[in-house]
Amino acid sequence: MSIVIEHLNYVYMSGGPFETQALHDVSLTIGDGEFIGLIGHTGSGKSTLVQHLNGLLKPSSGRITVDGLDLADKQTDKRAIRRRVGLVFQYPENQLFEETVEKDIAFGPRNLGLDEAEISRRVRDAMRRVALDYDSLHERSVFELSGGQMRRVAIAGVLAMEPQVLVLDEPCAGLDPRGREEILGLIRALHSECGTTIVMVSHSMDDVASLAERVIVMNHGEVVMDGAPCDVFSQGAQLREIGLDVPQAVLLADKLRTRGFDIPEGIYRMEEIKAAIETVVRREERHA
Amino acid sequence: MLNDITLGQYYPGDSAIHRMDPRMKLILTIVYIVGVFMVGNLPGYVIALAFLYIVVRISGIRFSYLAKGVKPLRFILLFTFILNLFFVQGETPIFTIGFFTLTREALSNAIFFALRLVFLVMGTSVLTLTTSPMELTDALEHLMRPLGRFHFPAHELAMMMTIALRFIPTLLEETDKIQKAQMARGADFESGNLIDRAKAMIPLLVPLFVSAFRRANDLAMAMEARCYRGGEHRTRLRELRYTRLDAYAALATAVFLMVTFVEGRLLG
Amino acid sequence: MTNLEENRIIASNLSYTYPEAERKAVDDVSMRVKKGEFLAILGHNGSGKSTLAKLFNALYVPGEGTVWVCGLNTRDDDLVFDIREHAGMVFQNPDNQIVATIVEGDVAFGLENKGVPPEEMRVRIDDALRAVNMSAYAKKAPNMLSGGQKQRVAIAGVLAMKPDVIILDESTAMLDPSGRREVMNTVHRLNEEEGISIVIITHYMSEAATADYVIVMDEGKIAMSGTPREVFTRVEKVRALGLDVPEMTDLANMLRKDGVMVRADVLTVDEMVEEVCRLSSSI
Repeated sequence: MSIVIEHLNYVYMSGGPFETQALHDVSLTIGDGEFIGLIGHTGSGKSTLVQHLNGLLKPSSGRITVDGLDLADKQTDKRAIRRRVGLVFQYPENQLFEETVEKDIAFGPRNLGLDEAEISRRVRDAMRRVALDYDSLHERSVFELSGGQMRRVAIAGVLAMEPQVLVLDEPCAGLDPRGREEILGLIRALHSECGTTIVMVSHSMDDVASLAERVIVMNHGEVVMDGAPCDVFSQGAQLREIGLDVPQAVLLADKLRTRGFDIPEGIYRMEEIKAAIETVVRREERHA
Repeated sequence: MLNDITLGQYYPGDSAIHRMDPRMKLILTIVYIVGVFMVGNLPGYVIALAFLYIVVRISGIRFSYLAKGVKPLRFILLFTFILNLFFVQGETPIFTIGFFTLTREALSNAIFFALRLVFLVMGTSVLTLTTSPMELTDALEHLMRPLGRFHFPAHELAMMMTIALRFIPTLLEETDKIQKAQMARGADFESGNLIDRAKAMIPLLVPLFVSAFRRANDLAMAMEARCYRGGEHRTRLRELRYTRLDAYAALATAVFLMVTFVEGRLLG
Repeated sequence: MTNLEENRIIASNLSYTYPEAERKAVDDVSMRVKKGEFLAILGHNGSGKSTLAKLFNALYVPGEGTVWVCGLNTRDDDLVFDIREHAGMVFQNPDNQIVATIVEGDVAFGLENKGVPPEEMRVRIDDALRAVNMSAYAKKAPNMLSGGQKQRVAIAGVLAMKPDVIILDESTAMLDPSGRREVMNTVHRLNEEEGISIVIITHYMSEAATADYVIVMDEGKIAMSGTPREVFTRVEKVRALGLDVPEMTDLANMLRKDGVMVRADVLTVDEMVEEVCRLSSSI
């Protein structure tokens, strides 16, 4: 299943004095089983793009198809789209509303019109995936949980829709390091174990570097870079120009190169730079 | 839709009208509206319109922008107009269709009533377009201050208004976000009967209330941390001061009142 | 207490329990914030670090022990407002701490509460907005600003009160990287140029790495303290407390395990570059 975006334009508050073009001629194909890191500074159009993927926003012009279904087509059932593409908003715990954890996670599946047995199976399954213990937590009120737990309940609420594509807008925003690690771990597991396609919007270059297989960079509503992490992150100067950082490993590799060290091109992960430094130092040792 | 409503939207500028003391603007707006409500014939409305037009010209706001503010009210206008046509008893019939007789009195009543509404909206729009919400709350606080003697919470009310104004955009944004988040989970806010739709609002309203309470809590703490302790001994950055400008404005409004009054006596 | 001149905040054997809570949120903490110091308080969620911050600003009254802010005891009801002037506070959510509908009106808020005359207020507001580089936005509505700009307005509001200490309670947590940078640059400048003591409470190790001194909280107690180098070098312990270490410290630690003996207390990329140079030339 893939998502195909062709010449997508989106204009906010069209016609008024505050008219702004949020997306400008965006064309992309999101293939089955990909792990995409979507980066760009605030206001670059990432969040707007993401809201088009499951039909929450209607394109001003252009075409989006999900699994062959045209989003603009009036015949297309919105629920069929939302069953395929799950969207986790920023600070998703702000959408929790039910009395218990179980009921809240069941909200999505229930909207899909599934039977009780299937709903119950999905709730248990989603809770397992986000590492929440069903027996001790399903009866608890969502508002009694810790911040990290609430975040995971909210993600489980989307997972229970069993989407083939999961889009996450800044899933780690505002969490402490342990919470961040947990969320990243479960996203990684979803991708590797269930083969879910992941689109992760993130401000953290280091998180993107450690997880994504493809990186898309947005600026002023346009896609300015799209490729393998090593290719995108090797363009440090361009990234900085549009107000983005590069992963620390890339920065270190650049600085070592300017000092004359022989560091291979395309390095962007911590393990890679570590290996490169070890090679450099060992080589010097042998020479000595 | 919210962009269509000019009422309550500040139009930044530095005209004489903008620079007037907000208290005077508030008082004169009320006086003007009362004046318009006393007008009873067409020439009177022409004078009222001319007065408003001059004020708007001085303020630097396009008159068409102001007129646009009346547009969302067109259904209410139409409704009151028709209501007046049907229910006002008159003696001079113009024509009769079936059991309905249109009288001259009903027609003039309907027209005048609609005009009053239009002037009411345009008059208050001039006030809110040229006065920032903060000035407006300042003015209200000042004008209500004498009521404090009767334990009327003037400062508290003004503070509530300020905070409400400050948080309306934030909460609107939040509503939009929660609505979309629930739609992403398959929620449907659009179809079904009235009860279904009311039920569908729960997933929107609960998180919105939770968030509003959390914000209120945060804000209370932030205000406390910044030494807030109620209205006593408080000074204001913008001290309100009447100037010559306000005197001229008061004079102009008084002239308007007199002209309409005399005109009403002569022609009425 | 002695050394009032040297210490902006002194906490001694401080404890605090929330109503209806079983466990102490802050448990027997003794520490101080020196004049002109840049202090970072770290700790996972629920470790008691935000509670500690609120005790410094007299928002909470200690259950046991005492807090002195510039020599004033926070238990003394009559001193509460003086204490809040000396120790200003910036909170986490940029949307939930701005009161007024235009920027300069918000900066004025604290001064209005204090009863400062309007002429003096004008001067102080202009100075404060200039100090955070927000003068151009004085007449703007807060909801038109970015997160980083909102937080700078909040800092200006505190700054106008001429505080001796500014406490930032996770004030960068909800910002994007550029917003975080804006806020951190601003507080560092205020610390260096105006000599204002800064206490930042944060989850970001890179921010803590720029502090003079770091305190790590766990279960309401101080679990570690020292300079950033001293603290972060103990990688295993920091991890066990639910925190991270700066990426470069982590890298140094991994290299050392493999026998590449870079210094263990590397914090920044530049320091790592120097270490690699040192190792490869000294051999």
